[in-house]
Amino acid sequence: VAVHEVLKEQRALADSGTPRSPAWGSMVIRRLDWTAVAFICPIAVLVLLMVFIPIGRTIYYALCNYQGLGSPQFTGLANFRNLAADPTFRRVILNNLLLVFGLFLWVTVPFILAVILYRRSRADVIRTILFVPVLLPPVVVGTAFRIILADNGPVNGVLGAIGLGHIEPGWLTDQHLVLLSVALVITWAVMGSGVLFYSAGLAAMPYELTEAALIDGAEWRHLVWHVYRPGLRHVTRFFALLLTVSTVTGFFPWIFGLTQGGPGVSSTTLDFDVYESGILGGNYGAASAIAVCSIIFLCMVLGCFIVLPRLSRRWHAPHGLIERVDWRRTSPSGIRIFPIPARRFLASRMRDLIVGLAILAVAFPLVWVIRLAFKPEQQWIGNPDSFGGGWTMANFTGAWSSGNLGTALLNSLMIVPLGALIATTVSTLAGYALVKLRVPGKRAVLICVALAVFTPLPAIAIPLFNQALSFGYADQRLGLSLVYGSIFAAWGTLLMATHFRELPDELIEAARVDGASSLRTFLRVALPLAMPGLAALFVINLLIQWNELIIALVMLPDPTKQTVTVAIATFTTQFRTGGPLTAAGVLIAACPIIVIYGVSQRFIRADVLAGAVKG
Amino acid sequence: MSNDEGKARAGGIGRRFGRLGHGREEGYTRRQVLYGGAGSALLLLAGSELLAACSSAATSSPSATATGSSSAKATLTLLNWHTSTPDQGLGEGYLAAGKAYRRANPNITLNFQAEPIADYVPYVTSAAKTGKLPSNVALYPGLNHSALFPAVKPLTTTEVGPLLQQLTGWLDTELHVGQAGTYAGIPFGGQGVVWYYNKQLFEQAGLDPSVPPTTFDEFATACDKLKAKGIAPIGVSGADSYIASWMLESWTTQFFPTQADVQAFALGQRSFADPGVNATLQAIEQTYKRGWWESGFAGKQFTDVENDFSTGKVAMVCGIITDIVNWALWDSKLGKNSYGVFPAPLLAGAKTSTPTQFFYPSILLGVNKDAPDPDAALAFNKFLVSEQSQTIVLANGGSFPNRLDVDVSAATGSPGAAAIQALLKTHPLVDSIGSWLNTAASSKYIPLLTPAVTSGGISSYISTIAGLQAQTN
Repeated sequence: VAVHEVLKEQRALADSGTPRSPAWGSMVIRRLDWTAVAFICPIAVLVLLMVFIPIGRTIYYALCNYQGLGSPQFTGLANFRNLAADPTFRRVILNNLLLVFGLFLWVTVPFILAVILYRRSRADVIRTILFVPVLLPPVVVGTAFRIILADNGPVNGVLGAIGLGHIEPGWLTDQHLVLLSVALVITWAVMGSGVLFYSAGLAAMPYELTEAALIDGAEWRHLVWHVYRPGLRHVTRFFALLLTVSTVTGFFPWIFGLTQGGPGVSSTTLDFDVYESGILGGNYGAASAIAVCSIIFLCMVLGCFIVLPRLSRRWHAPHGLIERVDWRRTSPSGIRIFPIPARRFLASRMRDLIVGLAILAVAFPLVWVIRLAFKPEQQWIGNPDSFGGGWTMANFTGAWSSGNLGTALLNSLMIVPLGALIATTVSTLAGYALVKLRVPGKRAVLICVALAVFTPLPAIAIPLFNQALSFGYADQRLGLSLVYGSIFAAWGTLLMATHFRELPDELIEAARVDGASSLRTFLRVALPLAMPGLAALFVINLLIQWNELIIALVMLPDPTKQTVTVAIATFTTQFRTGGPLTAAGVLIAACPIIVIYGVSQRFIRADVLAGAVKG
Repeated sequence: MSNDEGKARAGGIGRRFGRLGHGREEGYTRRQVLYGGAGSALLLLAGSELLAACSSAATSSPSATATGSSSAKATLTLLNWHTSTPDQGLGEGYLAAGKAYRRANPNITLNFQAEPIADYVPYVTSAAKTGKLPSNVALYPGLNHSALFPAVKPLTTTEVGPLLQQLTGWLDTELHVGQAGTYAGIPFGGQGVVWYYNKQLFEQAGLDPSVPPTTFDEFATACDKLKAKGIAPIGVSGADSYIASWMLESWTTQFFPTQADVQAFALGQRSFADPGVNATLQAIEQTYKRGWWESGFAGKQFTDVENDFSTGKVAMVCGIITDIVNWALWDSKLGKNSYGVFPAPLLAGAKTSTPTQFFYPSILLGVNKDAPDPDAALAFNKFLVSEQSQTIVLANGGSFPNRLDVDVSAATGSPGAAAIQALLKTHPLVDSIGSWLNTAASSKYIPLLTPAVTSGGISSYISTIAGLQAQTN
C-alpha cells in the first residue's frame, strides 16, 4: 500500500485548497496495510503507556512536593532549586562524570584481549571463561566484590602476603579511591561482553588486511594500532555508547550491591540517588527532579556521541577504512636491545601473560566467593582473609531460609518467562513491520522506540508504580511481567529490525506475487527464517529481566512476591557482614542464570556475533 | 430417596416429637421445635457469654484492665521493622506481649509482620497505596517518617486519655502529625544514647572502673591511657556511620538542653550551622585525630563494633539503649558485671553543668486509617504501651520503656540496664536534634558524618546539612 503516495496526495489537496471529498478518508483506510498497523500497534501502545507517559509523570512530579502518600502539590521549580543548592547533588553529578572516564578501561581492556585472542588456539574456551561475569546479576557482582575488596578481604590479604601490607588500601571505604574501585569492578563485569563484540568485529574483518600488513613487515603493535583499531572503530563506538548510557541508566544494581553509594556520597550515582531520595526516603518530588536531571544528563551524553564524531575527522573516517601506513617509518629507530626474533618471542609471552592475568582476574573472585560460601561462619570471623578452614553446607540452608530465596526463585520463574515472551512477541511483530511493511509514521515510531531504549529505568519506576495502582496491577506478578514485556520490547524491536533487514526482499515479494497476504508472508516466510534471532532475543530477555532490580523493587513491595534479584539485594543489605551467609546467597541467586546460559549459549553467541558484525 | 419414603420419614419424626409433647392433645410441630431449639441455643450462648464476662470481671486480670478486653472478634496485624531477623530483639518482645494480650482477649487474632528497616518506608508507602497496610503500624517518631503519617488515623487527646501523663515522648508525636490537638500514634519504648565501657580493660589501663569519665578532659585522659596500653579506646563503624552519629546525638544535648532548643530545628528557627553543632563535631573530630578510634574502623559496620566490644577488642563504645549495640547484647556476650555505663562527658562550652541525657520514644504506634476495626487496633496499641506490656517487652526484647513505673532492674536482672534507668532518673532528659531534621537532611547527616570527620571536612558537612534542612519541599 502506497501510504506515502496517499500522504502526498493529502498534502497536494491541502495545498490546492480543494475541499476534501467525502471519499478521501475511506480511501486512506482502504489503502492502509492493516497487518502493518496491527503489528506496530502493540509496541506503540506499550512504549507510550510504559515509557512516555511515565516520563511525563516524572516531569510533573519533579515540579511538585510529593511524599508518596497524598496528592502532589505543585511547587514549580523548588525541587530543582534545592538540587542546585545541594553540594551532595553536585558531587553525585561529578561521580557520574568521573565514571564516564572509566570508559578508557572498559573499552581498552576488552579490545586488547580480543586482539590477543584473535585466531589463537583455544580462544573460544578463554572467551567463555571471560564471559561468565557478564551473566551474573550486577547486584550479585557488587555483593561478591564487597567481600573481595573489604578492608580485611582477600585482596588486601594477598597484598599483605607479598609484603605490601603497608599500602592495604580501603578499596570501598576510602572516599578518594571508591570510584576507581567501582570502575575496576565494572571492567571485570563487562570485559566478557566487550571481548565478544570485538571478536565478532575481528571475525568480520578480511584476514587479507592482516596478512598484507605482516608481509609489509608490520609487527603486532603496528597491527593493533593501524589495522585493528581503525577496523574496529564501529564496535568501539557502539560499545562505548552502550557503556556511557549505562553510567546513567544501569549502574544502580552495582552501586547497590557494592557500596550503597558510600562512603558518604562518594560513589552515589544519579540512578542510586533517585532510589535513595524517592524510594527509600519517600521524597518522590525530589527524586523525580533528580530523574529529570539524569534524563538531561543522558541527552547531553548522547549529544556528545553525535557531535564529537563530526568534529573529529579521524573519528569520522569511513567505517572499516584501514589507515595507510609506511611500516618502516613507524618502526622505532635507534639501538635495539633485543634482535627481532627475541622481541617477537618476548611480545608473544607478554600476550600470554596478559591473557593469564585476565583469566586469573575473572576466576579469583569467583573461586573466593565459592570457597567462602562453604566456610563455617566462626572460622571466617576469626580469619576473614584466609582461604583455608573447614567446609559446611549450613550457609546455604541458612541463606535459603532466612533470605526466603525459594519463594523468590519461584516468583522469578513466574514473572520472567512471561515478560520475555511478551517482549519477544511484540518486538518481533514491530521489527518486521518496521523494515518489511509500509507503516504510517515509521520514522516517528523508530525514533520513539530508540528513545525508549535509552530511558533510565529509575526515572520511571515511581510513576510506573502509580500507573499500576490506577490500572489495578500494582503488586501483581502478572503486572510486573507486563511492565517488563513493554519496556524491554523497545530494545528487542531494534534487534529484530536488524535481523529482518537481512532477510532478502525477493523472498517477501515472491510470496506476495504468489498471492500470500502480509500476515501469511510473515508467518510462513519471515518468521521461520528469523527463528535463531527470535530464540536469542528470548534468551537475552530472560537474562536481562532476571537480573533487573529497580523496577522489581518498586513494583512488588510484598515480600512474598519479590523476585530473586530483589531477594538477594535485600538479603545482602540486611546481613551486610559480607561473610559466608552472603556468599552462599549470592551463589544461589547466580545458579539459575548460569543454567539458562548453559542451555542457550549457542543462541546468544550467534546472535551477538551477528549483531556486531553488522555494526 | 423416593417421595413416599421422605414423607414416611417426616411423619416418623413428627410422631416422635408428638410423643414428647406430654399433656397436649397434639404434639409439637416441626416449626415450633426448630424455633424453640434456636431460641434455646441463643439463650445458652448469651448465658455463657454473661458467665464468661462475670468470671472475667471477677478475676479482674491486670491485662484485661490494661486492654479494656473486648468480646468482639477481630484480626490485628502489627507491622514493624527489624534490623536483622524479624523474631529477635524487639520482635521477640512483641511476640511475648502479644501472647499476654491474647490470653486476656481470646477473640482477638494477632499477627506480627516485620520488614527490613532499610525497606520500611517504601514498603509502608506501597502497602498504604495498595490497601494492604496492616491494622497497626509502627513508625519512627521523627520527621523522616512524617511522609507516612497520612496513612495513619490521627488520634485526639480524648482517645489517648491518661496515657498523656503516663508516657514520655508525646511532643514528637504531636508536632510531627501537623494537626493541632492530634497525634500520629502513641509513643512506645525508649531510645537514647549512652557510653558503654569495659571494666576489665579500664583496670588494665590503670583506670578506676567504678569512676567513669564525666568531663571531656577525663575522657581524654582515659583514652590516652588505654591507647598507651595498646588498647583501642573507642569502637567506631565507618562503613555505616552509626556510631559517630550516636556520638553526635549524645553530645549535642549539652548544647541544646531543652525541648524548645531542639524543636527550634524543626521549626526553622535554628540552623544546623549553629555553633553548638560545630562544637560537638569538633569533639568528635578530636576523638579521631588523637587516634582513639579502633584500627580498621573505615570498613566496619555497627555489627562489627558490637563484636569488637563483646570480645574485649575495644574499651568503649557509644551505643544505644534499645535493640542494637546495647546492654542486652553485652549481658549475653561480655558478662553482666563486665561493663559500665556513663553519659556523654561534659564538653567545654556546654550550656549545662549536668550532662543531659538524650532520650526519646523509639516507636510511634499508629492505627491504619483504613483498618476494618480501628477501635480494636487502638486498644491493642494502648495495651502495648501499658506498664504490663512494656515490662514484658523489656524482659523479652530488651526495649527500654518510655514510662518510669516499669521496674527495669527486676524485669531484666541486668546491672547495666538498671544503671541506665538510674541515669535516666537523675539526668535531664532531652531529645536529639537528629529526630528534628527534615527528610532531606536526615537522609544525609548520618552517611556523610564519618567521612567528614576523617577528612577534615566538618565545615562543609555543616553547610551541606544546613542547606538540606533549609529546603522547603
